[in-house]
Amino acid sequence: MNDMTPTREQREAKLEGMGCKRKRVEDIRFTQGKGNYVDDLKLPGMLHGDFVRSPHAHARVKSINGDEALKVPGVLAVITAETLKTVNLAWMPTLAGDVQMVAGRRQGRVPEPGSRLRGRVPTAMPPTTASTRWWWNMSRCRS
Amino acid sequence: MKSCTVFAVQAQGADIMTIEGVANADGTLSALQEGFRMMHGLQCGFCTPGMILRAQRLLKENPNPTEAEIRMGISGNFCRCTGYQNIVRAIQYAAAKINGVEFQEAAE
Repeated sequence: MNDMTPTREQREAKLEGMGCKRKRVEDIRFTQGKGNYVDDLKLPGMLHGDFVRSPHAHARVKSINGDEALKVPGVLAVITAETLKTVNLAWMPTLAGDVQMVAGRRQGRVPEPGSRLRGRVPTAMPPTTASTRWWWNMSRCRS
Repeated sequence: MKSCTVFAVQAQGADIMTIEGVANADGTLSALQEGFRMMHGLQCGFCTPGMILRAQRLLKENPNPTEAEIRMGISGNFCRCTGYQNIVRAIQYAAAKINGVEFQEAAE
């Protein structure tokens, strides 16, 4: 650096916009715990949803039984691919109803019929009035 | 202290400081909060409360940490936006300000 090289201050005094350090306005609230994230949102009548994912990378969904989930206080609904059919949304590849396939590789573990797995079964989501840990009764699922 | 690893009952009788209580009494940003802002130590801000409180403890125990000590000190906190370079600089900025010396940025 020779004597002709402007200092950072001299550069910044001349610059605007591109190439100039800007102080972000949002940092004032973010550094004080005043940010507002999706998890902070509270709207009237708002429900919480929880996604249940398949424990198998490649499996056929034979049935989904939400009875146990519905028994949990605060659980209002269990939404599956079957539910989406009733509102003409089954074409959306959001909830698996037939085949769960990711890498096309079979997994060895086969849950026994009627076994309970916590929170991990072919895709579906139960809206609840509060974040709830819940159990799902999986009737039959074979890889 | 990570709130997710401590039961509320374990904190009984303890003084708890959260990000909401870090600012100076007159409402201005603390040296660390200012450092994070000045050095672009945050993007989305989600990890910032943890980073600032961790750094606050770090500087209390070691007022003049080396870069390696800062990196080790915050190694339990994750930033998923961008990386740790500016977070380290923000803590260096705050350390310098608290110690009353001029902040020397490493050559770019």
